[in-house]
Amino acid sequence: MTIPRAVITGYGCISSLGNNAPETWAGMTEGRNGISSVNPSELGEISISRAGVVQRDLSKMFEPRLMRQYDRVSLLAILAAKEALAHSGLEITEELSPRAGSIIGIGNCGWEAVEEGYVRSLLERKRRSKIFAVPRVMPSAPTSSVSMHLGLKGPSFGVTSACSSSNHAFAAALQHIRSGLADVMVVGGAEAPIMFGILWAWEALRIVAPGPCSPFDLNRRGLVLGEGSGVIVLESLEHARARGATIHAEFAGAGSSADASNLVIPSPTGPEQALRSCLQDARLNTGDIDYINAHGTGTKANDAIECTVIRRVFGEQAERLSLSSTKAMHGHALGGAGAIEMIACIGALNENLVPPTINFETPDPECALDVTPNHAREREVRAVLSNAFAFGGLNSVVALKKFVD
Amino acid sequence: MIRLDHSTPVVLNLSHSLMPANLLPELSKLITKSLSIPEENAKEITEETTLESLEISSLELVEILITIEEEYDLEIDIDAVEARDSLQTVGDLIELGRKHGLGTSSAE
Repeated sequence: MTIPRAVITGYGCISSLGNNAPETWAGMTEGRNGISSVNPSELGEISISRAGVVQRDLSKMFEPRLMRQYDRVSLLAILAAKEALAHSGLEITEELSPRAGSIIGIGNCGWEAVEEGYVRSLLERKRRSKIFAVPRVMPSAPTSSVSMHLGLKGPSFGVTSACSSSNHAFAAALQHIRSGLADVMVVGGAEAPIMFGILWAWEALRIVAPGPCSPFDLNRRGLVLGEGSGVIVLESLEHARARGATIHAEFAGAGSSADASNLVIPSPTGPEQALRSCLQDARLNTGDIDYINAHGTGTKANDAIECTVIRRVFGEQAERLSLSSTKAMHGHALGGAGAIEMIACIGALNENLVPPTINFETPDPECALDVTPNHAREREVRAVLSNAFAFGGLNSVVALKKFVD
Repeated sequence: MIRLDHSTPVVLNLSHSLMPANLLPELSKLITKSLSIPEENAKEITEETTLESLEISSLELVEILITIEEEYDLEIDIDAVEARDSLQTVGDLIELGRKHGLGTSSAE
């Protein structure tokens, strides 16, 4: 029996660069800066004043009675998933529904409800919590919300691995298609970390850039946080063909690993293993890859290690690779990062256009690769990798390639 | 009154001078407030209105009880199952309020 191939037949995204996938991709190709100011919180002062904030007003998405059941992270996931499904042209019928599942990766939880709970208890001195705190906080809530709004009754669950959550979600969905457990997986990631408690915690880590985030630059000072969601419709090739769907890319493979070393200090061995494992799974050679969407957080340690690892794995092929970190434009959306960056990968494959690493001024000898500085670059893109190397040493790399029948 | 220790609830024995004898209009408003629906919907609520007809889920019913607790600073100590089993109409809710001292000139 041959293993089913998995193809991408639709995608959606909401990010600080745009309220949908086309806007987000346009922002990426223009090298647009999606970073804006963060509203001050009544809960305290923090030095983090800028982040990749979604501009769409979500407060009127549903009537108030329904709204209060969802945390911001779930609302973002619902929007991206609806766009992805509409884009795929797929109708979730009674017959298809049990064969169509959902996986949404997130790194945190429904933090808005956590924060509201503490405000209520410690500041307002209320005796009881809000009633929907439990279902809003649970990290599986975005998946539940997507399954409810799209009518997906197949295998559905949340996935979490900090900043690798989205890629692990894709990897899990890929296995569901390959194993035949599902025909369709609506899969992606989301995060809504622009809230006092999370910003406060990141401030303490002192790895948030005081100014613009400039990945791979000699003078880089750290990351900038972002929020958003990306979702794709992953479908077995057979199912996509049978309904005459437009295929935007083939999901070629995924590779995961754990550093098993330290919660915060990155190691080169785990990422290297994930990269090699992904290439092997995708049956791709280093010479087949034209673009890598880097994890590229903009911290000193991450970027240097990532470039070292790419050199180790790609050898001479590293010279002809295009690399970029789109995080400088949309911010690091943590558990949702890989899903927003999936839009960059699909776009690069379809338009033979590599989105840039913006804010780049001074090359760093430790990152001596073609990081596509400041401007998008036209070139043939046959296959791409997207890296995610998370805090906690959980790594996941995914591979897409142009679909060839 | 502020209590930091939430684990040992105290049932308040209060005498609420603002408590109205006719609880329906006020409780109806609290229901709309709890459900985040427009307040004018309260006018259509009678004692015979069933909670089912308002499409109140078991969680929302508990939320209404919380709103009543907060509004009148009292404690209604029933769980979700008991609430669902014993409360079918808005009238049942009013009766529950009365048992807890609402709408009477002095608490029992």
